[in-house]
Amino acid sequence: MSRNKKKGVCNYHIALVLLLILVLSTNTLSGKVTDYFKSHDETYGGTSRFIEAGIGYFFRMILVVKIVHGGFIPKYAMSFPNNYHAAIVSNPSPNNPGVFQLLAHFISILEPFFILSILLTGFYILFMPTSPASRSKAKNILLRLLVSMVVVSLSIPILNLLLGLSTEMTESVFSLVSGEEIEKALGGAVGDLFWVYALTAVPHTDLGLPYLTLLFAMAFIPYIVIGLRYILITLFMVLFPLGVLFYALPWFKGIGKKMLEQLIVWIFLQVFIALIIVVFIGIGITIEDHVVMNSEISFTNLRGMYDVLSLLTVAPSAAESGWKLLAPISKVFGFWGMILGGAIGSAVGVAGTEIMLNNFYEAMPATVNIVDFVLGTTIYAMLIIFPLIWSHHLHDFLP
Amino acid sequence: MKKNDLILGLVFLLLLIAALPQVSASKTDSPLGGFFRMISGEAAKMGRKGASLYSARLIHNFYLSIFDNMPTLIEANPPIWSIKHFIGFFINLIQPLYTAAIMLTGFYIIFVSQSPLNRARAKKWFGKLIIGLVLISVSPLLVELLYFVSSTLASQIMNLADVTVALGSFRAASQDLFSIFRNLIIIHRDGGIELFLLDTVLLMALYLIIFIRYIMAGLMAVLLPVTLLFYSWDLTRSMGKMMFEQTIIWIFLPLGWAVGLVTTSVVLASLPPVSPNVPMEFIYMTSLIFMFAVPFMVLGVMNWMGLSIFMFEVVQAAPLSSGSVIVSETTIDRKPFEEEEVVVKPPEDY
Repeated sequence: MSRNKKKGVCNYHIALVLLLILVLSTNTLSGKVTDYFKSHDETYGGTSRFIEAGIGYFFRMILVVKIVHGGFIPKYAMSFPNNYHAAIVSNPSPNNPGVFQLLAHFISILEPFFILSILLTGFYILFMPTSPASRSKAKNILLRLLVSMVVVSLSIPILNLLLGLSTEMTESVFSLVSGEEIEKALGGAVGDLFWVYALTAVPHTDLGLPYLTLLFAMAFIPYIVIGLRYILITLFMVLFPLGVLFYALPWFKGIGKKMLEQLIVWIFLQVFIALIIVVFIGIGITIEDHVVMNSEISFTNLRGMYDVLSLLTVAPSAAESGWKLLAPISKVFGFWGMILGGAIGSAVGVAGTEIMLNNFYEAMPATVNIVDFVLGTTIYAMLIIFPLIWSHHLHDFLP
Repeated sequence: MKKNDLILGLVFLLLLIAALPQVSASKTDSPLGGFFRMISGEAAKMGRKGASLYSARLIHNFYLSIFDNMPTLIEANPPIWSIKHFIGFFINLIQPLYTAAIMLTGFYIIFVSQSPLNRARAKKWFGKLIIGLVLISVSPLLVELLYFVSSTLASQIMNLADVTVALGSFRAASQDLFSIFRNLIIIHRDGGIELFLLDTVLLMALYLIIFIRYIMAGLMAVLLPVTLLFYSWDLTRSMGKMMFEQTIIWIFLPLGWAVGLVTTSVVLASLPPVSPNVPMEFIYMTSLIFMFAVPFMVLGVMNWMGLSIFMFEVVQAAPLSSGSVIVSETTIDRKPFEEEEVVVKPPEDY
């Protein structure tokens, strides 16, 4: 870990020093260098434009290959496909010391309220007999208060029961398809999107922007939804005694009902997230049978583009460097020496790019087809949209 | 890894050395040098624009296949063999509950209940439970029926007019956007990027919404036993109703597209004679956006449309914000604690 970190720091240092030299050199060295290369530059110096384009291309390639493919994808984007099971199945426990203390604290706050409301109801029944109907209502409230006291004192077993039921159901839903298949589908979705991004971002950063945005969304939003669920369950678990008290009192029944309903909705959301993934794996892939034209992007195109861009941009600049480095030889050998220097420089440039991109090319699939690509995006879109629809539409189910 | 870094550094160095004289040696007296400089500069820029255009064209053609696939994708429903496995899981989950509920109701009728009113109520539950049990057992067939009706109706509607006219117009709209982008990007390397994004995002959204429909139709069909259970039990009836509505909406969404395609075809055939000067490109683009909106319009789920409304949904969905809704609801809807008037009559012999 520390070795990697050290290496990363070292790389940054090299890049920074090089940039610094680049900037400084333009100011300080210009005079001397101008004199030295002037004779050559007057005739053949047109490659500077290629150098500009080459530097731009090179930076975009580093963005795609090193930063996104080498850093972002394995660290963040592939995190959900690799840890989906633990992320979805995990639940907060009411036995956790922090949650337990908060719950106990809330119950201790509620105790006087319970005592007070029971006393008041008792007094009402005993001493203020206005009408039989209101007396019966007061009796009803008393009964509800007593039942809610029992429920509040059993809140931890009740919460454990709900959470356990939800976890077990989630596990049984996940058991319908194999874990490897799910991992493959989710990972494939990220991969397909990345390769389309790689195709668009190298020529122009803006072309790849929607795909980069989608990659960010894919990496973080499932975790945000699951994290939100985790936090909200903890919150509503702590508020459970309060919800039960509110639910028992007719004046606050609306609030209590909402609180308990939201607790149930967010707890059982887990089952439905699992169900979306499982149904997607089982049913979604059959859409391929209905597709007339499954269009494809061949990644030989991408590789070809990278190579051609290297030739167009890196090679002339490398050629010029080679030619200038070998300037003494070119003075001796004349025109042919200059050609030799250029050839060596461009060979070094292109070969360097090829070797550097070797791992990247190895990871590259041959093609990506539209069905796989859209299906991958669909599963993530559903993972994001469905919980919101679910939690919004489910209400008013408690009596 | 280390080798790569070394090479990266080397290439950087080469670039650096090459970049040195470009700043210093900017002046040139030779006309040939100036010409060469200009030509190579333009070639470098054109190379970059060409690369952008090349990858943009690949992506554009990738998405353009939506219009070839649209008629079959609209009619498509998940095959029943892929659903049976999952429906079976839920039927197995629910059937014991039903058996227990029916047995308990039977015991109640035979041994517990005393008053005729309660017995009648229990008998009503009994009837509902039996109907629910039967419906759940045949739910795969029910799903098949719904799918059949949906796809048959969609194909029947699409046979009413030549939908290839509409599809051709969508394709033309997309091609128009792309050709404007192509012309602009040749002039300037940032030109028309927005048009390209609009084009691809629209096409991608069409694909996405059709795929989501397909999977949601499968998901709601898988949940049909649960829906029926919720619907047949008084306590969860509202939830069952909501789920049933969703099932119907997602399964019958293709009718919206079918109607949209047919309408677009008819409009495109009838519009040019009426207003010959209207540029058709705008009509094409409008119809493409219309296609995206039409299922929502037809099925009356308009409130799902639009980012602002979606954000509203998100805000609504978060229970923290619904706290304010609760308070307002309880303050507005709460009725005053009414005391029923009980007239205490004096005894006859008062």
